[in-house]
Amino acid sequence: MRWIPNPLVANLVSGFALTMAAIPVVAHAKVYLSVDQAKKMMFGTADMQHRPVVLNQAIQERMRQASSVSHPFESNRIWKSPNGGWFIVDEVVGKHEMITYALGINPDGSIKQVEILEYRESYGFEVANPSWRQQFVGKKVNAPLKLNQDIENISGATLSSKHLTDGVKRLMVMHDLVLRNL
Amino acid sequence: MARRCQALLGTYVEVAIPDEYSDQYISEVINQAFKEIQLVEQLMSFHQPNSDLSRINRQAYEMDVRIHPYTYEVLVMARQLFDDTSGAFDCSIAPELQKWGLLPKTYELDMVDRGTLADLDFKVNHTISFRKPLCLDLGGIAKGYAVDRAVAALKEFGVLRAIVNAGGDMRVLGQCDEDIYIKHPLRPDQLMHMGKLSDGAIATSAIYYSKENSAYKNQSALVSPKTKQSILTNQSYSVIAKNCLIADGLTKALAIDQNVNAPYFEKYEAIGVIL
Repeated sequence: MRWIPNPLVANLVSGFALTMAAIPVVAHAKVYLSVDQAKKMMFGTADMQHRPVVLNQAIQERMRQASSVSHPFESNRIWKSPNGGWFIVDEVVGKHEMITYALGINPDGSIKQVEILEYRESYGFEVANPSWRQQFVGKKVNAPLKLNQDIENISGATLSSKHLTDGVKRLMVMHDLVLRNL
Repeated sequence: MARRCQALLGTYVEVAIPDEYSDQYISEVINQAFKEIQLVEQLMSFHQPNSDLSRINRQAYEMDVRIHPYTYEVLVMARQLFDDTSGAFDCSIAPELQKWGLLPKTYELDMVDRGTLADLDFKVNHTISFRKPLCLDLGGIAKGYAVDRAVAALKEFGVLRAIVNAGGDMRVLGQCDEDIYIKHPLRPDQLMHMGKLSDGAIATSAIYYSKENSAYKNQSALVSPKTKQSILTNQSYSVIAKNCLIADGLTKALAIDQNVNAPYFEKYEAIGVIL
């Protein structure tokens, strides 16, 4: 182990640290995988059939009830694999974070894999401001927001992944109600 | 670095390795690291009824229970940390977390005869038993262990440089002087640069997010084993150590003892920081 402390932390007296310099983080973003990379990783090919669907009100309501996710689902990000599996891209919107993820579903309807594609975190005024969220809508993975992307290793304040679990739940409901029969 | 992220251990786990390999190899290697984390999660989950942890909580007071070598190793380390911190680290405080709504009430414990980690007996063939009624929660240590297992898996593939970060419990493999930031405990929109880390781990415990979910609004998941009260400061407790299990476990002892000079830091060659 080699630890080179920040000189301001080295002689730390409890309580004193709160006065040390902190970097304000307006937002930071990380891109892990592109949609095509995730397709390849899950199904061995990016060559999949694009199958956007139209969800009627009743189905949307069933999805909402099963998952308590009210954030609208963009139903044009659905693909079918050559072997009959499905690949769906969706977002999770939390209080301070927005996560784009991909769900792979096996031909038998079981979950194959869940991968995070992008992670964006934000604090303060922009969260309350709808235009902050608006700027992500329709954003392509290959054009990420370049905000403090060099800040990689952050400790503390564990983020719960419960929202993602709920998001996957609603996609599985949609698969059961719609995709399974296509 | 090639980075991937999955939702595991109730948080977001990131694995990064150098992108000098083929896409397919990177994906294979990182998948293996995620698989190890998944295995640790399955074995040590309080919520899954068929996990090793649930089995021992149900049965170990009545009979010997054989568990996976990983679970056994974590319990051995938990007991060692319990002894070395004079009980400041104690993973038998699950009944308090249950009472406060932070864990499901799956088991009713005999509170009169209730024991401590000292009542955990280790036997041959990865078998354990309780001498007194106990209910364990490995939430304070399993995440660190999962990070260590993931790093071990990467090493087996010959990876020399890597970072595994499970929601702030993080390990750096290789001499790469990674910049480490910590969230400001009072202002989570601000980061502090803590220093540079090679071949080591850092873990942080604080109460930022524990309060909201609790039915007892003013309790946190950091519990003093002696008073059975929760720790309610606005501080965060970080530990830098050679592996993530030790770092993770010692953050709890640091939160209880509030002493960065406690003797166990020297013994484990660890550094405690209170912010």
